[in-house]
Amino acid sequence: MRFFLTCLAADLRASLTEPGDILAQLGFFIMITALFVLAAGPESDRLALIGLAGLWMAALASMVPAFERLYEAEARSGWLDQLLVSPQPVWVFVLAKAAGYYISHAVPLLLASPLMMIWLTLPLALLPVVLASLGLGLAGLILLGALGAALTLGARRGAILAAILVLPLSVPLLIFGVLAGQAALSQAPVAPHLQLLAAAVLFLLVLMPLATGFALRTAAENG
Amino acid sequence: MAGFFAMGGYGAFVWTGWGLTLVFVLLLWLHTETRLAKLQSQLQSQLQSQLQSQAENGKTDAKNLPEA
Amino acid sequence: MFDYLANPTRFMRLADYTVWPLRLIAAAGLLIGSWLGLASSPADYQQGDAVRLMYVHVPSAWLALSSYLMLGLASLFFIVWRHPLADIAARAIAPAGAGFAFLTLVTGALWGAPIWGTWWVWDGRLTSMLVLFFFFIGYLALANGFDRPERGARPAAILAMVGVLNLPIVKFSVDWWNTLHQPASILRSGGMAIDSAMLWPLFTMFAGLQAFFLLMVVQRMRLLLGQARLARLADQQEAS
Repeated sequence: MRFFLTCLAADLRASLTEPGDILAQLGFFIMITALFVLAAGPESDRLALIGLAGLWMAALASMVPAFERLYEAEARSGWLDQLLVSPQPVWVFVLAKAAGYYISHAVPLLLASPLMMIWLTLPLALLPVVLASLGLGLAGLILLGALGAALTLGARRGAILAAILVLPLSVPLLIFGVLAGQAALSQAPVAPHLQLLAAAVLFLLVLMPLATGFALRTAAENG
Repeated sequence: MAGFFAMGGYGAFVWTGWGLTLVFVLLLWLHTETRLAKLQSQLQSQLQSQLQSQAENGKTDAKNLPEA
Repeated sequence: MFDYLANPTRFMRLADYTVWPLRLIAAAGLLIGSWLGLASSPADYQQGDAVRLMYVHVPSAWLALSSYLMLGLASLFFIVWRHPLADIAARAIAPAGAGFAFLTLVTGALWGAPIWGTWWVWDGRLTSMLVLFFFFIGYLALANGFDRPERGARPAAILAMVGVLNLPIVKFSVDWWNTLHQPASILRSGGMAIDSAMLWPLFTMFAGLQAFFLLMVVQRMRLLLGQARLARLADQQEAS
């Protein structure tokens, strides 16, 4: 637990002293949403129906390209190699890193999402459901991204490769997340979708840190 | 015979689908087998030239023999 | 048995014996199956001759799915026992599996166009097969994404195992999505009852394509092992 907090604090300090990444990603998210509206046309009754899809696409598109750099600093500074020979469990580091990434990269998107909902002419009554589903979905996505980043460490074309690995695996998150919002939009029960989404995220929460830790070990052993 | 190729009006679909499948099978098959045959002949000549050069140099101790 | 087969030389010797039987079964199965499927079997009373696409579509779908499971199994062996032969098996399985997934989608579209009146339906099975195809693409991209090919072996194996574990979830989510969106129901539920006259061509094509798939796996494994051996020989020559 102590180790978890140390890693988390270090990660947050690093990303907050260098906020360019976060701002660029946020800008990317906002731009894609705006361009989605331009592509879909501003007629509000139609836009509201596909607005959730636009929001999720913008979130995916802005999150996925950055995953490649998740462990870049640690790998370059040799910190990762030190961790692997130390008695500390790697999966704790992976979790801490994912939690830090969530706070620094996913929370800004969640904070910006009410504004995006206004652009997408989604009723603000949907806000709790959107925040819950997008919040869970981004958590799952970051766990997948952690694996993608660890697997592609040292690969050619790492960024696009990580995206190709992560996107098919994120299909369940996308489906359950968008369906929760759509259910709320049509006044249908939301809970089943959110429960399934939570179950999927929980599954990833168990599986991904172990797989990612293993992948990091592999990457370090093979240089 | 014309009826056979027409496939009751579905000829275009049936023949394209079967054709693509069989073309895929045939191409992959030929591609793999020719590459394998080429590789095996390369291996053979490599082994032979290595054995020959060793015979000429008189180095026949087990350490220098290419693995069987 | 696995210990016995784990020796590459012994594996190669055993593989040599399987090549000709597999070649014969594949060639005979595909030839006889094509004749049975295209000429001698009856047309469906509802779908007419379009039903003949089933004889290539269904075996392809089965091979695509089972080869991904084989990929996951080989990856498990590679990760747990660290045996290079398992990595070579996985690398041999993946391209053929991806090819069959692609064929399934194409023949499915060609079958759907006349029967459903559309090339593509976002139904559960098609969508899952599409995601499976993406899984194969990801595996191939990762396995070949490193400057040294053997460096990609373990990342790719981890990915394949995660993929196999995720496949049921993807399948479930796609079905869930599908039941809620309910595209105008052109797929008859309950599947179709297969007449025994259709069972024979299906079975024969099945056997032919399965034998072909296994042949490709064996031959690609021999190819990859041979390439490694050639590289070793060249190194030895340089060293001496």
